[in-house]
Amino acid sequence: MVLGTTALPSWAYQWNTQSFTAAQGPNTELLGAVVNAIIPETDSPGAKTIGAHLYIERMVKDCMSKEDQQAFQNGLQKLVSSALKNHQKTFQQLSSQDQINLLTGLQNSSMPEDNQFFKRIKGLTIASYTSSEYFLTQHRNYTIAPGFYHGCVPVQ
Amino acid sequence: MSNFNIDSKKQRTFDAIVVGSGISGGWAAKELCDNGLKTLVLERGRDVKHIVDYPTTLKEPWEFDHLGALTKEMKDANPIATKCYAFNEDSSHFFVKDKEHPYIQEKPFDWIRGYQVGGKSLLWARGTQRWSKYDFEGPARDGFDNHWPITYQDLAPWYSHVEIFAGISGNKDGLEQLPDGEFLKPHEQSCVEKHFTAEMKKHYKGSRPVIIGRCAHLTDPQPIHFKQGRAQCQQRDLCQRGCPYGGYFSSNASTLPWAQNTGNLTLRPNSVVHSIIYDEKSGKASGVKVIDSKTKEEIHFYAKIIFLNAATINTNLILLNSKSHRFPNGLGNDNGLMGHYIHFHNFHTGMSAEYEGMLESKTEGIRPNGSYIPRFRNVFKQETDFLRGYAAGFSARRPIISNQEGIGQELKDHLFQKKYGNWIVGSHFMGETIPKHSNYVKLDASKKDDWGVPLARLNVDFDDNDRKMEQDYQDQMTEMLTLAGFKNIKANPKKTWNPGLDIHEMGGVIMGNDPKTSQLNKWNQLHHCKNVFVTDGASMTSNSTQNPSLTYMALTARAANYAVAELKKKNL
Repeated sequence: MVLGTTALPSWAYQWNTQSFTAAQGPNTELLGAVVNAIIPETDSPGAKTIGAHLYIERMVKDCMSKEDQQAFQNGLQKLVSSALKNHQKTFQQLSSQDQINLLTGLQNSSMPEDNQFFKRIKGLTIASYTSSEYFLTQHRNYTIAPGFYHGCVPVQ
Repeated sequence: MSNFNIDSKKQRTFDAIVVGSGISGGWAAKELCDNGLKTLVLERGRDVKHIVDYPTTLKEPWEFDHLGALTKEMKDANPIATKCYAFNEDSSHFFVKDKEHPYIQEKPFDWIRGYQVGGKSLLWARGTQRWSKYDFEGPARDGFDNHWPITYQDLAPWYSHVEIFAGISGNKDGLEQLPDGEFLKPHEQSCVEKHFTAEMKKHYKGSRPVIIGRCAHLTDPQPIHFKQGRAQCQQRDLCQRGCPYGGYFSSNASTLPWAQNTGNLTLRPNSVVHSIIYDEKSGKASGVKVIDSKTKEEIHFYAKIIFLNAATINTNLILLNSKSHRFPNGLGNDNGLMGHYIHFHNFHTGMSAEYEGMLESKTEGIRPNGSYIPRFRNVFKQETDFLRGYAAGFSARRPIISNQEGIGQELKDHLFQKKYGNWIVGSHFMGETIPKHSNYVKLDASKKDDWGVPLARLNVDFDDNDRKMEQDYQDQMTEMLTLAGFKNIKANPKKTWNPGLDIHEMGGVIMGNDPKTSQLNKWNQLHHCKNVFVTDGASMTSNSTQNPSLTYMALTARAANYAVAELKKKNL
C-alpha cells in the first residue's frame, strides 16, 4: 500500500483504489452508485471512494447465506427496474436526488423485503465507511497503539 | 535448534520431557532449563515464533477483508470454535477447527483449543488473581468429595515467583479473600467504575469491594522483562493476534525464548503424544510415545522426569491412553477415578446497564482490562442456599453515539458527529462449579483420531447449584447497580453457552492427599508413578472463582523445582 501521509483527500483516493484490487463483480458499478447515494462524495470522501461497494460485494459473497444473497440480489434488481420504469435510465444515470428518492422509496415501502434490503445495504455502507482509514483517523482520533488509558477526562 | 537425529536412543534421551508448550508447559520448560536440565518440549501443533508468526498483529481495522467478520464458510464449518469470543477474522488461525480434531459430546461441550507452540497462552484473557486460603480450604469446609493437599502458604512464594517474571499489573488492595501479589502499576478505573466502587463501599461497609482487574500486562516493565525481550504494553487490546511487544505474558514471548537462551531446550512441534511409556522393571515412566503429526512416524523419547501440560482434557486422554500391565486403566489410575471430576467455571450470565450521570466526563485511550468484583458470597462462612460463590467482571465506558439517521449528506453529517451517549455498564459472571464424579472425560472404545489416539467422550453439565448461583448473581447485581444509580438494568443470560466455552476446564487428574480419591500428591506427582508430574488444569482439585492460569503457573514452577531437588537427591 502506498500512502502519502499529509494531504487529504488525495491519499484517501489513492489508498482506496490500490487496496481493493479484488476482481470487479457484476454489481460493482451499480453498488458504487448506491453507496455514493447513501454517503455522497462532497468535500470529503464518499462511501464509493473509500471502497464500500467492494466491501459489500465481498460480504454478500463470503458472509451471507444463499437466501440472503438472493434477497440482496432481488433488492438491487428492484432498484434497476424502478429506475428504468420511472425514469427510463439506469440507476447510475439518475441524479443523486432521484437515486435517494428511489432508496427512500424502499425504506418506506410496505413490503418488508424492500425495507430489509434498504436497512442491510445502508448498514453495510455505514460499517464500511466508519471502519475506513479516512473516517477513523480524521473523525475518531483512531490510533492502533495509544499506549495509555485515562479513566476520567473532560468531554471537550 | 540443532537438527533432530532420531537414529540413536541416546539422542532421543533428555533429562526431562514436557508435553505441551502452553501457559503451564512453558513454565515447566523455563524452570527445568534454568536448573540445567536438558529439556525436550513436545508440542502437538505447528511452530509459532514470537512476532514473526503473528500475521495479523499490525493490521489496521480497515485492512481486513470482512472488517473482522467471519465468513459463512468458516462459521458453518466451525459451529463450536466460532462461539469463542476471541475467534475473529484476526485470530482464527490460532484456533483448532472443529473438523480437524473431532470429539464426542455425550452432553454438549464447547471445547476450545489452540494447537500450536504457545497453545492458548496466545489467546487467553490474561486475568491473574491469586487464590486465598478460603479458596483452598473451601472444598473441605463445604464437604466436597475432594480436598486440596496444599494451603495458600504453600503456593504463596510460587505466586510471587511467577508474578515477578510474567509481569502482573494490579493494585495492592489488601483483601483477605484475594491476596495481593507482586504488582506492576495498576490500570486506572473509569470515573463510573470509581463511582460504583465508592457506592458499594458505602452501602456494603466494605464487604463487597470492587477493584481494578489484575492482569498479565507489562504496564511498567522491569529489567527482568527487558531481559526476556519484552517491552511495555501499548494498550492496543488486540492480544488474540499475538503481541509484537510481548506486552502481555505468553509462552511465545516469555518462557520459551528464555528457556531457549539457557541452551538446554529442545522444542519439537508437530509431535502428538500418544502415551507415556511405563517401565515395569523400574516402576517408573521411561519416556513418551510420539506420533509425528506430519509423517505419522512413531518416535520414542526418553527422560528421567515427565511433565504433562497438554491442557486439561488432553492430559487426561494421554494418561488414560497410557496402558501397561501394571496400569491397565491408564497410568496412575488405580482408583478408577481418572477423567472424573472434570469441572469448569460458569459464565452463563451477565448484566448490562446505563448511567446518566458524569456526562461531563469520558475515558481516553484503550485499556486491556476491566474492574473486578471479588467473590463476596460464602467467603468466610456459608450464607446462602447454594454452595461456594462467584466473582464478576465490571466495566463502564462512554462510547460515541453512532447516529445513523437519514441518507445522503444528512447521514454523512450525522456520522461525523462526535456526541457521547450515556455511560454503558457491563458485568460478567464467573461462578465456581462443584467438582462431581458424574462430570467426566473418557476414551472412546473404538474411534481414533488420525494419529491413533482414541477420541475424547465428554459428559459435563451444569447442576442446580449453578442455576441458583446465577440467579443470586442477577439479584445481587441488580441491587448493586440500582444502589449506584444505574438505569436500564438487564440480565443477559447466555442461553447457547455450554460447559467448555469458559475455556477453564479443569480436573480429572486431581491433587489430593489420599491415593484412593486423587491421582496426584501435593507436589503434582502421580501417586503411583512419581516421575510423572501433572501441573496443568487437570491437576486442579477445585476451581474457585479466579481465572486459573496464574495458579497453573505457580503450581508448575513449584513442582518443577521440587522435581529438580528430588532428582538431585536421586529420589526419582
